[in-house]
Amino acid sequence: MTGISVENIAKRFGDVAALKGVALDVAPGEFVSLVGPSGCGKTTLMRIIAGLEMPDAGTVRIAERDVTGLRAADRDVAMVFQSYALYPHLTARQNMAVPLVMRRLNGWQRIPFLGARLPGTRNIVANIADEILRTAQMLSIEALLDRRPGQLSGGQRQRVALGRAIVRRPKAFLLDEPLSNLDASLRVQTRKEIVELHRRVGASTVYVTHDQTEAMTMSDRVAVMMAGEILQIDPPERIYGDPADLRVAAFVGSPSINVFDASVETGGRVAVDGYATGLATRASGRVVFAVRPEDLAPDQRVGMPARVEHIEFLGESLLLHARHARTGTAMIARLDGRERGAFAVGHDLLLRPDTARAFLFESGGKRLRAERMAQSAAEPVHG
Amino acid sequence: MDDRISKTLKSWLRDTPRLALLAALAVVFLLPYAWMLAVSVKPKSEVFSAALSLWPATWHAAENYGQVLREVPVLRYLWNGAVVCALILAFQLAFALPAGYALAKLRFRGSRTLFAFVMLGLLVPAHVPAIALYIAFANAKLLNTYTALVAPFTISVFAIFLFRQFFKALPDDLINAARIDGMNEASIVWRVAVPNAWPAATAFAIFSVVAHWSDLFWPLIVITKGDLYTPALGVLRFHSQEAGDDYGALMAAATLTMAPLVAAFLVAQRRFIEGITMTGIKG
Ligand SMILES: Nc1ncnc2c1ncn2[C@@H]1O[C@H](COP(=O)(O)OP(=O)(O)OP(=O)(O)O)[C@@H](O)[C@H]1O
Ligand SMILES: [Mg+2]
Repeated sequence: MTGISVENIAKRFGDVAALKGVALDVAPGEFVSLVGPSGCGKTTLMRIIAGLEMPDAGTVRIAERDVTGLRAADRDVAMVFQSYALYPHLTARQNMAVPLVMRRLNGWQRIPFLGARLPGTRNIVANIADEILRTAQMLSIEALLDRRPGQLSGGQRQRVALGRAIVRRPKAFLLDEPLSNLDASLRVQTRKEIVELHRRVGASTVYVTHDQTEAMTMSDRVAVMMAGEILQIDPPERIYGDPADLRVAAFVGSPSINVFDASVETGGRVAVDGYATGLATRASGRVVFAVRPEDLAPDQRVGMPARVEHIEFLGESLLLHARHARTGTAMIARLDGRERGAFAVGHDLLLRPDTARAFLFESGGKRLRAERMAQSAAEPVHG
Repeated sequence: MDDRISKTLKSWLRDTPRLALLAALAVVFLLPYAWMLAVSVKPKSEVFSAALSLWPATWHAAENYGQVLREVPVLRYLWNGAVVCALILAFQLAFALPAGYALAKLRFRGSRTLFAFVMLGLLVPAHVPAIALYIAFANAKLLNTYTALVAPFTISVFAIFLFRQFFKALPDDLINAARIDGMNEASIVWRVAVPNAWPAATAFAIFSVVAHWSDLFWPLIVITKGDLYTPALGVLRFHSQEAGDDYGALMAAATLTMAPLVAAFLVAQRRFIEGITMTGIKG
């Protein structure tokens, strides 16, 4: 059973390959975020799921039904646009009524004045009014229902747009950067509300954002997309703690992960400019050693020699910007904010990565999985 | 308080040159109409007197207007004019709104070429195809019919162009939202595009009605029977007939012809302004 399922979607715009064989499965009721840098194809994928764009290849299934050839109007999806796209000439109430009216009334019943006299119309219209009111209460926008979009604030418009999308209880719910036009505090609040709303409505949801915090906090699973490909789809903690690709590791987390050029030496031991990292691999040649800022800490005895260049005090934590004494690689360590007095710009120190939480990647970017078995054997030797 | 007064005074002073210029221009444009009104209530002797005055010395309105109403079926002409203008406008909108939408928002093969043809059509004056159209209507035995008056104008490239430009400014997402809400393209035209195109539609309606209400050229070619005369043709009946030019009656007829137009414009102007303020399209 799947909610939304896309397979092998490819799409070109002239010379640009916007999507190169994308596959994505969203379980019924699941919330999946799609993150990635600008221009990686997030919107294109959404538009293909919604039926606004036809893929060059691949299939789209919604609730087990192949909808690849269907128009947007015939797929049971709802979408919230970044610009909200409310009908400017209709009130909030009428805006929310549109998807219901278009689906439940036939062509004759939609004719102004005349349609209202046809049998059945009255009942349907009353039901629609009811459902709008209930949805409006859920979003606390009852008081705004008779205003036009021009008379609403950005946040209010956003709610009405959400209301228009959920009022008809769609099988699939698509949101394309719905929060990007809101100010920071409203964004945090709306984030929570969308998650709650999703819990109540329970539709399969794809949520596009390029804000990783949104993706990490809201989703059941996060899909990281780059240059037209999905690199990894996993729950947030695995995206962060077990990245499949260097680009995923670098994209997620702030400040960004520390990346070191490393070499594989005898016995598969991985060293960064002579420092034995304590990891080993079966690969050979150059590899990439990466460790998150919070897994890098000053050490008295061993570590990579570095000079402190800049200190950022954030209250609960402290960011130590340093540079490798020999290779010049920039690194950042996140330390406890209470240690503020212990460091000064210009200090030389040793920074030691937490081997258990560091990652190895091929120089091409793919994750190297060999490190764990070698880990315990390697560490004591270089203590 | 004094401050306020001096401020309004200042802004008045600042606006004076602009207002004066606008007023002068308004007078220039209104003068022919004022003259038309004045002549329509003057006796013949005064029309040609050397003294230029707007106000008549002897009031001759009843005679002039009476003559017009007696000699020609004015109401019939006004009715013809209304029917012809309404039909033309209805057809123009029925064709141009969907066409403009398609050219602005739909991607299909040949859309650029089609639009190029629309632009080319803009360059062709109405008089160029007149003879060919006349022959066609004559062969089809359609001279002296409403069809002959209406048919050549039902497709307005200008309207297509105007609406296309207007619809181009509608956000794509709005159209996409409508598609997702279950509308087909026809519903989108009438339920989303048109309601947001009121200013353009009203402006075009004024343009179209004024042009065809006072069009003399085409009715003169295809209409010879009195009961299909349009207002413009009716006015002509007082011009250069055997009795010579009767300017009083001519201007009275012209005034009667203009009156519905002015009334219609005043009504439409209201909607026009409403339309502009209503269109808060920017999301
Ligand atoms: N209609 C189009 N015509 C041509 N190229 C397009 C079209 N739509 C998208 N593209 C291209 O496809 C690629 C993917 O675009 P897309 O809009 O999906 O990116 P995105 O991930 O949504 O980016 P953003 O985060 O900036 O919204 C981009 O290189 C873009 O230039
Ligand atoms: Mg996008």
